[in-house]
Amino acid sequence: MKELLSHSPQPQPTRSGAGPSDAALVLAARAGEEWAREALFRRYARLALGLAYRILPRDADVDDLVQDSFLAAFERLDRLSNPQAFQAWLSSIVVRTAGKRLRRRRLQVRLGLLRSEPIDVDQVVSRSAPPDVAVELRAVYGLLEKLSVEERIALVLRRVERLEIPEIAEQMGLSSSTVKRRLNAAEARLERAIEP
Amino acid sequence: MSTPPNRYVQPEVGEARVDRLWQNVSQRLEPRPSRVWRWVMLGTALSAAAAGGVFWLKLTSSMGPSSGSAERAVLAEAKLETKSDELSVTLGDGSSVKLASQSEVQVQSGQASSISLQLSRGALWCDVTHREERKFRVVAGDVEVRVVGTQFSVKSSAGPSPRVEVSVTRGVVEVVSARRPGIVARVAAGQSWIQDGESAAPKPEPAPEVAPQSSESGKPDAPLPSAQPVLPSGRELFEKAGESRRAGDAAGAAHAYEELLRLHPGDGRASLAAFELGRLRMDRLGDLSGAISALERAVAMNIGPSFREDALARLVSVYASQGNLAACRRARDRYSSSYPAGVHAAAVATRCGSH
Repeated sequence: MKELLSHSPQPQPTRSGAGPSDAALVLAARAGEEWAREALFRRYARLALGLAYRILPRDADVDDLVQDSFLAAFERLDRLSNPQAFQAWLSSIVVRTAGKRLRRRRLQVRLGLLRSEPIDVDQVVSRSAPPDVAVELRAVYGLLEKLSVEERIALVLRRVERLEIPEIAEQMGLSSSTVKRRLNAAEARLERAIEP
Repeated sequence: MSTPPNRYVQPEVGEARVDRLWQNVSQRLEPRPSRVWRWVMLGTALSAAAAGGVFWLKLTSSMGPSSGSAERAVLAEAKLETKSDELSVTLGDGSSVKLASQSEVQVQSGQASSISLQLSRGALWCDVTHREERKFRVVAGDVEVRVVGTQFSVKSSAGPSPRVEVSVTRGVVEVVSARRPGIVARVAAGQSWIQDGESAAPKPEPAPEVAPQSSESGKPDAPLPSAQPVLPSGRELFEKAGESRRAGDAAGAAHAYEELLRLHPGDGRASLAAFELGRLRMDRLGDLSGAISALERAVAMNIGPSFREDALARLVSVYASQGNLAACRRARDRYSSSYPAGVHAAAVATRCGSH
C-alpha cells in the first residue's frame, strides 16, 4: 500500500493487466470521457474504500467519504499537474475529506446532535493478523477516538499505512514539523496503551 | 519485507458495492454537454398555431427589425412559417433550430424524450444538443433525418415528392427515405445527402461552405461515405464494449472490440481496443491464439508505452501457456530489450524455461 500511496514525479508504468495508464485515463476524463472516469473509479475504488475505512471505520461513513472524494477529484481533475500521480492525489483527497468529516462529526457530538460510538476493534482488525500486528492495531483503533483529528489521521497513516513523515505531510496538507508534533503526541499515548 | 498492517484492516468490498458507489458518483457528476449551440440568427414571421401540447420553446431573434425579442411559448404541434425573414428557436433542451425565409415547419412532437419536426418547404438548420435519452428527427417529404447530436441543415422543395438536401456541419445524422426502404444513410460532418424530386435516387454531394465553429466535444465522428448503411461509430462500439464488460458479458465486450477493429481500424481507440480484446481473450475467454493476435496487433498499432509494456509481457505469458517456448523466448527477448528494468522484467525472465 505504501507504494500505492506514495507520490512519484515520474510516470509509472501500469501494473500487468491494469489497462490504460492513469495519465491516459486522466487526460480522457478531463476531455469529458465518461468511460475514463469510470475506469479511474473502478481502478481506485477499493484503494479509496480501504484507506477511508482505516481512518473512519464505519461502513456508512466510508461510502459517503469515498463518493465525496471521487466527486471532488473528478471535478478538480484540471488541477492535477501530473496526471500519472492520480492515485496519490486521490489518496490525499480521501485523507483530507476524512479529516473534514471527523471534525464535523465531533462538532455534532459536542452539540448533542450525534452520539459518540466507540470503534468496534474486534470487527475492524482482521482475525488473520499476526499477534504482534494485532496488538498494535487494536491499540491504535482503541485509541483513535481519544485523539484529535490530526493526531488520529497521522497515527493511522504512520502505524497502519506505514507512510513516512514527508508522505503523511503531503497527504494531510501539513508541514512535516506539524506532522511530527501530532505523531509524537499520538505515539506517546499509544505507547502507554500498548505497555501500560 | 514485512506485510503492512493495513492489510489487516480492510472493509468488505464486492463488485456490487463498487457498482452502487459508481452509480451514485456518476449521477452526481455534473453532466457535460456534448454539443453547444452557438448560432442564433433570425427573423420574423412566426405564425404559430397550436393545438394543445406540452413543450415550451424560447424564441430568440437577432435579425431584422421585425423580429421580436420576447420569449414566448410555442405549443407542440405548432406550425412555424417564415416569409421574408428567418426564424430562430431555442428549444427547452438547449437545441437550436433556425428556419430560413420562405420556409414552413410543423412541430409534430415536442416531448422531452422525442422531438420531431416536419419541414414542409424551405430550409431548416439545426444545432442539436446530444442527449442519449432524447430522439430528434426532422422529416421532409418522405425523408427522415435522425439526429445523433450535431449541426445540420435540411432543405426541401414544396410538393408531395420534394427535392430534399441534408448537409451536416458537425457530428452525424442518419437519413431514411421512404423511396429506399430499409436503407439508413449515415451522413457525417462535411457531407451532404440529396434526394431529387420525384423518384431520383439520392446522391452524395460535397457540403456547402460553412464557417468553422468550435465544438465543446470537438470530436465529430470520422466522415463516412454518404448514403451507406448505418454503422456504429468507434465511440459507440467502445462504449458498448465497456457496458458489456461491466455487465460481466466478456464475449459481448470482445465482440464489440472486434467490430471496432474491423469497422474503424483507424479510430483513435483501436489500439486500446486491441489491447483490451487481448486481455479479455486471455483472462476471460480462454482464447490464447486470439489473445496473441489481438496483443500483437496492439503492439503493432503503436499503442502507448505503458500499454505496450503490458502487451509484450502478456505475450510472453500467453506463449508460455500455449507451450510455444520458441515464440515465448522471442517475446521475452523483445520485452527485455525494450524494458530491461520494466515492472514485469523479473516475472518475464522466469518464463519460457531455460535458454
